[in-house]
Amino acid sequence: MTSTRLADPSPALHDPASRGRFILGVMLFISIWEMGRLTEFDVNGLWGAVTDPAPRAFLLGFFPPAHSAEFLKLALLETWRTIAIASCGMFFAGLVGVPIALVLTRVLSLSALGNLENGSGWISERVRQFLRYVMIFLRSVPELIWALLLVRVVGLGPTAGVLAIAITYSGMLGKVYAEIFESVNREPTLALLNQGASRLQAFAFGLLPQCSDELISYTVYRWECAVRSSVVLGFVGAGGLGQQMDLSMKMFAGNEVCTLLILFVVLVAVADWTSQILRKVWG
Amino acid sequence: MRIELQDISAGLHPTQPILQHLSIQIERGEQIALIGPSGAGKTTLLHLLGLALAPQSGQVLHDGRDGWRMASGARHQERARIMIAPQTPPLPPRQRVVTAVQAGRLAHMGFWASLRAWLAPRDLHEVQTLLAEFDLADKLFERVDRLSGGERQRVGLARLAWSKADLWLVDEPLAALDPVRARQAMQVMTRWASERELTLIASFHQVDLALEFFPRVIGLREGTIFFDAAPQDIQKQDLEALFENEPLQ
Repeated sequence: MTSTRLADPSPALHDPASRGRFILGVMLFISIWEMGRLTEFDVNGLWGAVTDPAPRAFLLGFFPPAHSAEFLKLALLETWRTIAIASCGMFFAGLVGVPIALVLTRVLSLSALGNLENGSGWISERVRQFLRYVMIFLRSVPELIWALLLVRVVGLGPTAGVLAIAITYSGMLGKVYAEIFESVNREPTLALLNQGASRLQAFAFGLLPQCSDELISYTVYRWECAVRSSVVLGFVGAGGLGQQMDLSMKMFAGNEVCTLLILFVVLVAVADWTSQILRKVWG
Repeated sequence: MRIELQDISAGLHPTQPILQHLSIQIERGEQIALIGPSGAGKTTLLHLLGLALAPQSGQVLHDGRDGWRMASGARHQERARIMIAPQTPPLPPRQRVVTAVQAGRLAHMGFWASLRAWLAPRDLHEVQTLLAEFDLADKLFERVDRLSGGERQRVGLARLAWSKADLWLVDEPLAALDPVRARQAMQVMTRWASERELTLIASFHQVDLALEFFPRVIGLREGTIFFDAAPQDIQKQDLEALFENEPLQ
């Protein structure tokens, strides 16, 4: 054999990472088990839906779904309102989230350019840290809580829903956009900065073309989440399909609930389909 | 641009600098080839010359001014005069060739001009004429990731040519090119540099081409200058010593 320089293979060779992975696996299993106990997860409770008469009647009332022209017209109008709440909320969230994400992206930092030892300046690091806390604050309170608060401030109706989504989602968008920007190959962006381009130019010509696909699919997915959120927000009086759903539930109108549920599924399917088309157009 | 390096030490690792106590003077309009074994510090030197890397000690003088003693904004303005072309062209895969080339001039475009160019590329005819020099005229609207490695490298050179910089720092521009294309690229690059009276510093592994086309050749080995001479003064044994392998363990 030729490779005389290699030492003899050690017989006791083992992967140094395996021990840590095993311990992590065991810990994960134990914690899931413990959380299951804590949440009193109980399959028997579901059985009651079949045996007790009241829930059974409600569920049987689902068929056939409500399909009178009057109700459909109302449901479609509320669907449209739900989409409008989600879209406006997303728009305002982007208005706040995108600039924050740009500031947070280290690749676009001019003071760090070429400076390996110092990294970014002290001030810009503090600004980033502050913005990170702002975003944690924005997204740590669920949109439902914001909606409950805002309904008392701006009154019942879609405005509260739009604002609630805008606040929570600006925190999420800012965080995830910044992470997407940081995850792509740095070279194209750095090359543009090194030839004297501004940060915004380097972003548009170096960074964005690399992650437009991911941005589109994440944004459409978030929009889909916003649609679902705005349905829930309706229950606390922030307008849209949720408000209608609340009414139908209170009247035990199973058939109306069923129609509304079908509309939810259609909405999400449309969002998924939009995402695919957009990605195809851009790809 | 006139450049002077004074007693430079630089590198990615703070305690083991790649370049050690290096001093060079480069006059305006000079064309210099950097040769040397892998890991000798050619790329580090190019980045250093182009203000893309701060030295650990020593000074980088551009027209007599220390690039790293300037305010950050002034330094960034100075970068608009410099174009560094890395060995692997730093082009976003999904960008189209026309946009990738036009990005070479961003430092000289205002906000609105670059926004317009971002939405719809302009100067199509000029870009295509430029690409034709590299036999890429038909690739104007092709996506960068649909090009071969050699085509991509030539797009990188076209971006270099499109820029308005007066200092070109080119890292192994011929690495992905076949011999015929390499010679063609070499001719185009040196001709442009002469026509525009700009300073060109490029690193090569093709020693024969470097000696043929460049009036000044710097041999770099283990972070120091091994020789700095005109090609006719470089002997065969100099080159052999430059590339001599360290004894294998």
